[in-house]
Amino acid sequence: MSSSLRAIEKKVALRKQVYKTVLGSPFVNEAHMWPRVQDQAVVLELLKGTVLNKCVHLQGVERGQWPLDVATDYNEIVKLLGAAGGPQELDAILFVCPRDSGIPPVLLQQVPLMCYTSRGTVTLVQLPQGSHKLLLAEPLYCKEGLLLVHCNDKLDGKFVAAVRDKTDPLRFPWLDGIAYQRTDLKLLKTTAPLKRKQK
Amino acid sequence: MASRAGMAKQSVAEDGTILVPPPKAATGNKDHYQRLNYLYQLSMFTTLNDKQPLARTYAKNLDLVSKKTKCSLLPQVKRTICKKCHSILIPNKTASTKIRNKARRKDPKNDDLVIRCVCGEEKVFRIGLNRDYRSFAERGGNIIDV
Repeated sequence: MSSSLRAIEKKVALRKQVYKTVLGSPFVNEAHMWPRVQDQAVVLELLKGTVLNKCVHLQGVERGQWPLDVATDYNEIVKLLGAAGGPQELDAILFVCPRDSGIPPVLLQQVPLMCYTSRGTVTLVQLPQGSHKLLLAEPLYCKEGLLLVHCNDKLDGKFVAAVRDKTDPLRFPWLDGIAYQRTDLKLLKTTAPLKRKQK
Repeated sequence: MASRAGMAKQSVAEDGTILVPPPKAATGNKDHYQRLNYLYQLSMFTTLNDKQPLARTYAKNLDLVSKKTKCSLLPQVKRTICKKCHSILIPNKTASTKIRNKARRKDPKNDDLVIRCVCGEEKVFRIGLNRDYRSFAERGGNIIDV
């Protein structure tokens, strides 16, 4: 019987790495859902200059009296996106921090779909990693990393045009006319216990 | 007996786990996975065309086949199917989403993400407990594309 170091190690081993096949879906692949943003740093600077820096000076002022119409609460944003057939169609830009820690991925999983299915024009902009800190500053305090800015007379038109120019539109080809997608198989790397022979 | 040259090179990690290199292709049950994939897409298509009963039947078949054949779906896929009525959950169409906090003091630790299906069934995710939580499949390096 071999007494090499590798053979001894294998005797001691309790678990073995295994690869399990799992079915993914092209419909819920988050990488395809988030629209690409060109020059994320520039977009962040624009956001800082036009929205965030203004909001810093509005501590203690009621939200209704702000010179900008913004929404930071998740439920409020979902309600705005889901309001179908309202008196006014929603025209807004939604800034999201999908790559930052402290934001559960399950929370943001349906955000691109919600934007797409909303009746108005919603531009979804993903911010670079580390931008959640900026949105957490008072008085905005975007706990969930979502900031919806209404595009109305109060907001600078150049800012809206620049952000929309640098962001790709949302694309969900499977929602418009579905075409069969190939089976998206993946391997899940995990471990399984080694079965020892009973003596 | 398998020849030594044909065997994959194995090593043992510090925690006593035998490390095995990944196979070159996903093996076994490929037919079942293709059937599941087809059923999911069919269910999505019929949901979008407002044929809910048919869509739910397809999704129920999908659930039964995956359980009977022990073929797993990624959590991201399973989250889009209602466990009660087997509807495909599409926001603003067959599902609504909100953050709920039932605690008296509204401590952010008690935040729950609630995805409510049209049938009334709720999927509740306790997001407040650990906002950095990622399921095993969502953690980096655990999923390998084939």
